[in-house]
Amino acid sequence: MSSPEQEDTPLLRVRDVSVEFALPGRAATPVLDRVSLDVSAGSIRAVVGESGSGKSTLGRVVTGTLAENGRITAGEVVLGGRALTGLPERQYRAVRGKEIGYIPQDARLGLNPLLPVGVQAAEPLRAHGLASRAERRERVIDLFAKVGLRDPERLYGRYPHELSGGMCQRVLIAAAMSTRPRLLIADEPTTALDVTVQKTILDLLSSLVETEDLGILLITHDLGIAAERTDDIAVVKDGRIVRSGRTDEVVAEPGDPYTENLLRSSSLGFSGRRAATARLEYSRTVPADAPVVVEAKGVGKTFPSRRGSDPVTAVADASFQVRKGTTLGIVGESGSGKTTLVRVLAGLTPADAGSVEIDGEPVVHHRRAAGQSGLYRRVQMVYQDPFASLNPRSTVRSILDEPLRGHRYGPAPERARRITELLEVTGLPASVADRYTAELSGGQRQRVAIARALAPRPDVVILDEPVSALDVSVQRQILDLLATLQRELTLTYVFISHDLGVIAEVSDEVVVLRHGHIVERGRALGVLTDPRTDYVKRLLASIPGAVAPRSALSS
Amino acid sequence: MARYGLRLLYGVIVVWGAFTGAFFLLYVVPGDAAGGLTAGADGGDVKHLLAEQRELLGLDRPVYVQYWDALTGALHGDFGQSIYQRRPAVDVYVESFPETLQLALLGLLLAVVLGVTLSVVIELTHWKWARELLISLPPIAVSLPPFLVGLVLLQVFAFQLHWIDAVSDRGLGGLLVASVALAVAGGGSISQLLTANLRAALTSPYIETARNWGLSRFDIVVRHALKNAALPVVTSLGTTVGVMVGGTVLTETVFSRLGVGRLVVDAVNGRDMPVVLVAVTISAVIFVVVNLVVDALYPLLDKRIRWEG
Repeated sequence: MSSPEQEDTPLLRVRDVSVEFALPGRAATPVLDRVSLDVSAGSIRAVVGESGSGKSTLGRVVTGTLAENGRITAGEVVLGGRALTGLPERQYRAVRGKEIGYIPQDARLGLNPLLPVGVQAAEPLRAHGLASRAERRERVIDLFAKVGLRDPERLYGRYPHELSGGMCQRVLIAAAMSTRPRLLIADEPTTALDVTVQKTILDLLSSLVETEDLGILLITHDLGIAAERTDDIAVVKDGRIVRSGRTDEVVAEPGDPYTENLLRSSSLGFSGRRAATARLEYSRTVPADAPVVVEAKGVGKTFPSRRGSDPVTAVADASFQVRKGTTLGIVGESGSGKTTLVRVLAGLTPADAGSVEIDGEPVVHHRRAAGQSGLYRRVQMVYQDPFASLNPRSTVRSILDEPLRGHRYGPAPERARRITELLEVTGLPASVADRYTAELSGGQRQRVAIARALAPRPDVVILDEPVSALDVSVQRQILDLLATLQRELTLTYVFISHDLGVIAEVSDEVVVLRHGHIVERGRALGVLTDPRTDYVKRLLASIPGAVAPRSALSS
Repeated sequence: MARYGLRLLYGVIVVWGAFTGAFFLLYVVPGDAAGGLTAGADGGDVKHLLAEQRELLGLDRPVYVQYWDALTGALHGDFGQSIYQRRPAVDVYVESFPETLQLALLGLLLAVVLGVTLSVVIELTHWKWARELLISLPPIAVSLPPFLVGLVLLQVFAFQLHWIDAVSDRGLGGLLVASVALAVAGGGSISQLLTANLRAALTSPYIETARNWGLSRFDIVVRHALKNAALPVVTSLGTTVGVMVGGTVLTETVFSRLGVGRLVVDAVNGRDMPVVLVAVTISAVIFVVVNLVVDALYPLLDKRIRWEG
């Protein structure tokens, strides 16, 4: 931990930094406003905030990679006694990657798909002229071993698509550490990873802090991760630091409503038992003889694979029922077959084995399923990323009109009435109808996506990670909206999530998938509070905040 | 590899289509080789002479018989005799082929070098005005008619600088100038596509990573973005080769070079069916082979792409 002398001269000192972005034809927009913080060697400083708060801009201020229209208008950044602000690009380049390491958000996208990972990990060494070609290879292989990558020799020549997300992130950490930097900037380093992998990556970063005397600036939206892993926290809102201090103090006494809200909605606030208990009360209101709407019997799906290897089993022998007005939660890591399973339910992918029935009618993968009376109308989907699932060049009205026309809902005036109604039930102002989706916020877009799913009056709505691309405070609103809609319209949900907190809150029944097999199934409260398989236990244990904060342990 | 076999089948269909198309196009165009051969003749027996020549050349047979003959002959590698030169059409073609091959290869090479260099320079240029200027070049290059480029180059290098001969210069200078005329449009289209792709590639997250590793702008563009941006350009090379084949006709006419282009123009004018069919068939084969090679190249450039079994 940091000693008093080190606190006098911190590794990184950011003082009163203000940043503006110039937009053509508009006044400059301030993005950061007199932000100050320190990072000491051998410690982790978290910068927490929602998207748009300016936390990533803060990282870019330190690495000197602001977008071309961004400008530091005041303040200074000092690394180990040397002022970085105002440094010419050529000199900054000598610092970047050498004294400051950087770990990007999405490890798979953060690596060049066309270059072997070993060559890429050696790039910082090459760029700073720190090792000859032969030495570089050796150094990288050593580093691969050090960051916990197995068989580093063979891995050197592999390409990113042949590696898992967690392995890619380890490659990037190895690349960042190759030049022995003093400071590491990690921008949401685990957001794109499964919880179990998330934990191992955070463990690795924590151990590097200890062994290398490294200072880390950890940028995250998840106060749960920050609380568990960091020594100091700075909470950013609208470009200002609203709360800053030692992690245990901030967690114990948030002090302001914004921090409190972040804390509540973060995974730290998760209490499976409480959420699942609350849901149980709703489950009791559903009549026991409610009709079965979705019935899957022994559903299986395999994909042919590349030459030489066995076919991939995406889903094997999956059977379950969902009663009218209830929610089935599907939990599993990426690659566990969740998405394939719901695509089969929706009739988008034919199953190889078994059958699915909706309202007693078999799901067919056929064009006859379209139309007003068809199956496709009765099953609708809401996707994870509303930025990707809505055409940015369409107005909300045309997006909502499309399913109505497609399912032959009725003449134009009737459809227009339905669109107004849809906006109302999803809590959107009527004025949104003629806006383009590109002008809407993430939360508004997801409401549009939900409205689109509800348009043809479906019986079953399949929600594929509907809140995981959203900010935590927006997640709350969308979950509340979904609960209200379910109650009022007696909707049946199939809800996919990797977030057990969300699953506990929305599900009546839970199915846990692993490698395409259902490993646990039952009442949500039972599965989440009394798991029978090691897999579910491990999933529960990897949720940040499930253990005490790091600083609380060490003090 | 089964898919590759299918591509090969498509290729055969393309070549057959080109052969058949050329045959019937030339057939429906008014006039035939008999008319060409008797062009100088005069007097009352012209009609008789024409009929005689037609019979001699077999042009009086029904069209499907002529077509079948031509096709079966071609399949055996025998395209028949050139009507005017009275020797195998294949020999006539092969004689002029090296001239055109030189021109087309050099043209293609120049197009790729010019196009890629221009795109990289655009991305490395800091001054906004210079950049804007450079960006406007590729669209201009694409929209310039090739014969105009040829004529301007001829004017400058032959008539003003006297570096080359205006009529069929057989030296390196002549070849080079003609290749430039041929390369301008191709280079422009390569650069247009590549510039757009580079721009997109440079906004990718892995570029952000490379920048944070302390790489220079040059390294980022050339080592990390270029390969990704080049993939669609490699695909377009197949089409560029097609454009080049067409371009050689114009370029050879303007520079009075005795290559395949000139041969084809003369053959079409004289309705010399065997020569036209040889030229079209071989051009189609080249086009198909280049595209097959491009397809085979793809998995080597991008390891994510594999031939599905």
